[in-house]
Amino acid sequence: MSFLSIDNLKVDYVTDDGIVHALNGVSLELVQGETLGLVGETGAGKTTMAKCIMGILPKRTGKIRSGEITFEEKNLLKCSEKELQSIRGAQIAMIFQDPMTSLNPVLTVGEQIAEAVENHERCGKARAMERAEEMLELVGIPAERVHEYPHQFSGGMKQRVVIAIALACNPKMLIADEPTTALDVTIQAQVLEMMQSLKRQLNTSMLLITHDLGVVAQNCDRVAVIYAGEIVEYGTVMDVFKRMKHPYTQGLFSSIPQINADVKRLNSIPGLMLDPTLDVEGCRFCDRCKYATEECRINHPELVEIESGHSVRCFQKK
Amino acid sequence: MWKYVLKRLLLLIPVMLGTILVVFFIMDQSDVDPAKVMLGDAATEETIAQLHEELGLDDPFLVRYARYVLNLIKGDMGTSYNYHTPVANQIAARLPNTILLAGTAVLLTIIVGIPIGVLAAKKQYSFFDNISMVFCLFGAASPAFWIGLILVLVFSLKLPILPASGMGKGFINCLLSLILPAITLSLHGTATAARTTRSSMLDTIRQDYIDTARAKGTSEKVITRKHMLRNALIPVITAVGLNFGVLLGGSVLTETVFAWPGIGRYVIESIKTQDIPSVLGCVVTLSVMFTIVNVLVDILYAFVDPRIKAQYKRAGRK
Repeated sequence: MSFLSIDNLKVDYVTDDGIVHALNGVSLELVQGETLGLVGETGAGKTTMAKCIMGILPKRTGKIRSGEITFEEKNLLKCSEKELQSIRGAQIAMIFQDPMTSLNPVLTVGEQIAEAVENHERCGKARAMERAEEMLELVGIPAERVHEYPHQFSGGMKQRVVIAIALACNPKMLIADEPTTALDVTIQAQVLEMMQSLKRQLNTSMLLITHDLGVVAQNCDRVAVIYAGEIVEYGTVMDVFKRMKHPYTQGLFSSIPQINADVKRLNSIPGLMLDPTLDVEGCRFCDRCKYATEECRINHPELVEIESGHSVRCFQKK
Repeated sequence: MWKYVLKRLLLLIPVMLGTILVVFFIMDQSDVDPAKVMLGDAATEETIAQLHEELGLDDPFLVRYARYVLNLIKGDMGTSYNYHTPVANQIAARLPNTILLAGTAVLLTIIVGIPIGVLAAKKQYSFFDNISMVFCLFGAASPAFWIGLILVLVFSLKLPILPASGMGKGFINCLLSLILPAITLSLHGTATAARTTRSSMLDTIRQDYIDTARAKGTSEKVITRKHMLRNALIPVITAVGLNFGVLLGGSVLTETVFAWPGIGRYVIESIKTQDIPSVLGCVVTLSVMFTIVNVLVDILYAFVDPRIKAQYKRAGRK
C-alpha cells in the first residue's frame, strides 16, 4: 500500500515577471520502507515538490492550484497549520540542500537538534539535549561538540548535523533534497552511506532528490524523472536505468561521460528547458526531442504504464 | 574575549588624546581672549596681562595642551568663566539629566522601533507595512526642533496635560516632563530602527535555516523570536548604538526647545558667553561617552553573534 501519494499536484509561483508553472500535475507514490529517487535538472520542480509535501512553500508567491498529497490517509494540503506542525519533523522530516546555510548561525548545534525533539516529545530541555548528544554520536560527531556553533564545523559535519536534526524524532519519512550536492565526493560517499544505514536502522521511507544518477543507482529502489514540472518516466531503478524509454531520460544517460572513452566534449541535450512561464499545449520536451512529430506539438502526452510499474510520458515510446 | 575588550578600552586613550587635541586646537583658533571675558568691562591692559601670566595663556600651544590633559586626568577641567565654579562640577550636575533623557529616548526607540520593523517585515506589503513605512519616512525626515514645537503646541497648550519645558521635581513630575522631550528625541532613531529591523528581518526570513526550523515543526512565533530576530538584530544594534551616541551629544536642539537642564543646553549657553573651558569640558565629556558607547555596542555584538565572539577571542590572543 502506498504510504505517501501525490496526485495531480499543480503549483504556480506568482511573481512580478509572470506566473511560473513550477509543477504541472505531478503524481507519485512512495511505498513504505523504500527509497524513491527524484531526478531532474535545476528548475524542474524538485525542491518545490519537497516544500509542498512539507507545507513550507513561500506563502506569498507559492500557490497550490490543484492536487492532493495523501500521507497515511490524511490530505496534507487540507491540514491546518497546527496539524502540519505536529507532522513536520515528527512524521516527515527534510534534509536541505546546502548545509552551509541550513543551520542557524547564532544557535549551537545542540540547541538546533534539541529544538526538533522539544517540538514533538514532551520532555524537558535537559532530556532533549541528551537526545541531541545521542543524535550527534549517531551521525559520527563527538557528543562533546554539542555546545559548538555551526561556524566551528566543516561542510560535511554541518550536513551530518542537518541529518541529525531530521532524524531526531525518528520520522517515518525523510525527504532529502540534494543532500550531497554541496559536498565533495569522498564526504558524499560517507554521508550517503550513513543515511542508508540510518534509514535501515529506523525503517524510514525516503524521497531522495538529486541530479546525480550515480547516487540514484546506489541508493534508490524506484526512480522518477521530472522535467519542466512533470514526471516523464517512473519505474524501478532497473527499469529506468536499463530500459529507459523517454528521450529526456535517454539524453540524461548519454550525457554521463564514459570512463574508458576519450571524448573532448560531453554529450548534451540540445536546447534549454522550457520557459516555465509559458502555457504549452503539446509535450513539454518536444522542442529538444529528436523523435518529435506533429502529434507531440499539438497533444499533451499522458504518463502511460508500458510494462508493470514502469511508466513513460511519450507518444513515440508506447 | 575579555582580553579583546581590555584592548578596546585601552585604545580609547589615544583616541581621547587625539579628540582633545583637535577640540583644543579649534578653540585656540578663536580670537576670544579669555582674560577679557573673565574680567569683563573693568579690564585694563595691566590686569589682562597679569591674568595671562597667572593662567599661562601665553605659553606655547603644546604646553597648554599638555597641561590641560594632565589636569583632566586629575579630574580638573578648569574653571568656568561664567559661573566661576569648576567646569567638572557643572558637568557632573547636568550629565545625569542628559543621560536620563537620551536613555529614555533609546528605550523608546527599542520598544517601539524594533516591534514595528518586525511586524512590517512579517506582513510585507500589507496595510500595516505601508503605514509604518510612511511613519518612518516622516520620523526620519522631520527635524527635532519642529517636532518638539508641535508636541508642545498640542500637548501643553491645546491640551494642557504635559509640561512644556523644564525638568519636574519628584519622580512623577520628572517622568511627566520627560515624555515630550523623550518622544521628540527618539522619533528619528525609532524611524531608523524600524526601517533597519524591517530590511534585516526580510533578509533573514528568506534564509535557508528558517526553512530548516519550519521543517522541524517549530511554531511561527518561536521561529520569529528565536531564529529570525536574533539574526536580524545585528544591524539594528549598530543603528541603535550609533543613535545613542548621537543622542548623548545631539540633544542640544531638544534640550534647548524643552529647556531641559542637560549638557546640550550647557554647551550652547557656554558658546554664547564664550566660556571656553566649559565648551571644551562638554565636548571632551561627550566624545568620551560616544566612544564608550561604541565599544559597548561592539561588545554587545559578541553576545548576539557567536561568530563575532570567536573573532574577538582570536583578536584577543594576538
